[in-house]
Amino acid sequence: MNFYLIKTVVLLSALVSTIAHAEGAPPTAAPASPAANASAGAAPSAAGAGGLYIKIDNANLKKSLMAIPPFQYTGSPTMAKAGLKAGKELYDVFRNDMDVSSYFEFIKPAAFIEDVRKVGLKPVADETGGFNFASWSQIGTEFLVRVGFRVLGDEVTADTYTYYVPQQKLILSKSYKGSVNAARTIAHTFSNDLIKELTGQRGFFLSKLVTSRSTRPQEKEIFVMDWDGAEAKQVSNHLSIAQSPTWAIDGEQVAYSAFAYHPEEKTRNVDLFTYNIKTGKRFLVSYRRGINSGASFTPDGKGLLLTISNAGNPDIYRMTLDGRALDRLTNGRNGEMNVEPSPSPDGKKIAFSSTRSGHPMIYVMNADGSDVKRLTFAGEYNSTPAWSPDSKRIAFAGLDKTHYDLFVMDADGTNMIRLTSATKTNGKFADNEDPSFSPDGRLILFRSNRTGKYQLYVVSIDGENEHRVTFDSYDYFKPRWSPTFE
Amino acid sequence: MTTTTALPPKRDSFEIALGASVVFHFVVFIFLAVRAVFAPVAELQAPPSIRVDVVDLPDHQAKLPPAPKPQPAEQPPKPPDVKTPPPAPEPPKAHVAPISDSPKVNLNKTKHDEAAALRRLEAISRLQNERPKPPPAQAPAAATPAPPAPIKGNEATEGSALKGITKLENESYTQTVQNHVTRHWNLPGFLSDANLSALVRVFVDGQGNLLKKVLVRSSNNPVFDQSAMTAVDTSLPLPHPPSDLVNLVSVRGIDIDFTPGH
Repeated sequence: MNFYLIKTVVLLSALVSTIAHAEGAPPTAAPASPAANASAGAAPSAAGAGGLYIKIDNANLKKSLMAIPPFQYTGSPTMAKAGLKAGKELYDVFRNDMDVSSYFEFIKPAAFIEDVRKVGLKPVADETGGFNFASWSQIGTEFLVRVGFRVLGDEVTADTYTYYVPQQKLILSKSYKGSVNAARTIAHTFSNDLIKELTGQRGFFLSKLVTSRSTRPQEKEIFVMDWDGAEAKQVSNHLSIAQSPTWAIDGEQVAYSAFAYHPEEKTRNVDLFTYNIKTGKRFLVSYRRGINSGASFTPDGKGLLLTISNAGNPDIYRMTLDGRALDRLTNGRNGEMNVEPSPSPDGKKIAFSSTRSGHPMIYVMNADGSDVKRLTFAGEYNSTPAWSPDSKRIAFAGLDKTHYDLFVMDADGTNMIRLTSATKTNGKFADNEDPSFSPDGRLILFRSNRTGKYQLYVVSIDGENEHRVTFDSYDYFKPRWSPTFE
Repeated sequence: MTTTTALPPKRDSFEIALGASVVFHFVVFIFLAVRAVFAPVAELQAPPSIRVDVVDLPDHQAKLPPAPKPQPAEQPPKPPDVKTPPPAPEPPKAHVAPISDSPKVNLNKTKHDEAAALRRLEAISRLQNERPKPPPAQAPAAATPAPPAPIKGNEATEGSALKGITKLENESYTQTVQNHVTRHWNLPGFLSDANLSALVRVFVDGQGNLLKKVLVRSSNNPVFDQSAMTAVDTSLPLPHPPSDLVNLVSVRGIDIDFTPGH
């Protein structure tokens, strides 16, 4: 009863106050402190207060429109020919970097209003004969990249100006100088600088790949190359099958396995080597009978994880860098395989593939081999797990009836999505295998036989924006992206 | 024999313990009694819950268009009253009593009492609000609603939470505008993880047409700011505000906080 009455009173008082307001009761109309405002349930953070407060926390992500007019030669006419080549290289490399970043769409040169050969690199406000912002904003340009370059002797200089057209603002102006042979490096460096300026994050355009590649029939060797497939350099020469390369955490050396000949015993064995890219020194790390393969460096830089089979089954071991001390992490039953160890970059977990359930599936265990958990249950054959740099996602290749495709899932096996689906020229599904994350975690490198040859490709971690990396007639195997940015 | 000899000491110790206990409790009792008499513990008995409820009410001033008066002038004189307000918390209790006595007869009187009490409470809360920060309170108030001056008295809304139908309208309109603007906000992909935030204040008329827009808080990133301003431009006209809110959104504006979540 009491309660009811109180309610009545509250209602009445509300009524009274409404009436009072309608009459314009003087004392209630005083301005109160704006700080007390809470009109829509959430107080504006800093800037005082408007009437209503609305928070928009969900944006549609879009690509920005970028115009990259041909780079302008500004050097002496006598060097124009050498300049042309360097200029084309600068342009192509930069443009491909921007394309693969997947942040931009490019305005076709045919749509340009200004004749870019006749206007300067800077806006008309800064330089007579300069370009007009209006003629770029009119075609929707958001970012305008103007580059002038010149060649003197064997040295190339590039002056770059990047403008944000909607605000007619110069956002990056930088000059680069280097040997003509280093034009690619200059372009990649410019790409990195621009991405850093826009995103605040480092660009991966100076990172490298290591991969096994066919050389002659029945022979594969290890190659190190720029992320875009250029400047490939052969780093092994066993004249046999060298495969499963991997990067050291500092990016200075690689480890790989080769079917190496042992002259004293006149046999071949799958041995593990390391090769230091800087010093060129090679080291035979493990040559235990059977396979010594599928290695990964541990994130602390002090050891290697690999598969060794001299105890019977292929099992996963941790080994010191000199190959001496061994620590067995899995103990498979007869006929069982535990292979492809992949340590999470934070050092806490190891993903691997195992046939303990009958089919090869992805598992994860603690760094000391304890607490094994199965992550994949779908499909018949899941292999080659690879961690994202933040240790939150795992990519792998899964056999879908007739072919392999790439999948990525959270580190606990949930939220699995398919990244690839491609057909060969004969209409059948192509294989997409051997995933490896880019240093910034936004892209995945893999190989695919959609052209008939196993070539290298990259794809965004959402499965969009596929790009072909290599354009040749070799077959590539087990590519790995360097964990370092340079 | 042994038992008789053994017992007495036992009884003695028990009696001693009992005695000691009695004495001890007596002492404690006396101590507490004395303390209660000479040093009573001052306990707070204010009913804050009631007070909060009532302070909340001033809300509807939002709708108060008519009274454009020189309020600032009135307030400085008031501070002296600050000491009298303490009785104010009681009025709420007063409602309960009269009504339970004679609900019908005293209705009007109750209303008046109520209104008076409310006014007093408001005055108090206003004073309390203003005392700590008089300059900030008045400066923005004078600065922001500058364009259409006539409805200045409306600023009273500022301090209160909206209630009832207006609150529902407000929420539904807020939601509508939120969905509307979200659809029009295109952020360059390279800023998706940049942890940026910008606040745009938009003033619109009854048809949702733009009167003015101001970048109140920049993200310090020209591209991000541009995306927010462009989102506003492409969202125009905004959904028609309900008539109750027209003054609010045209005078005080709508703060649109662009903060991509993760």
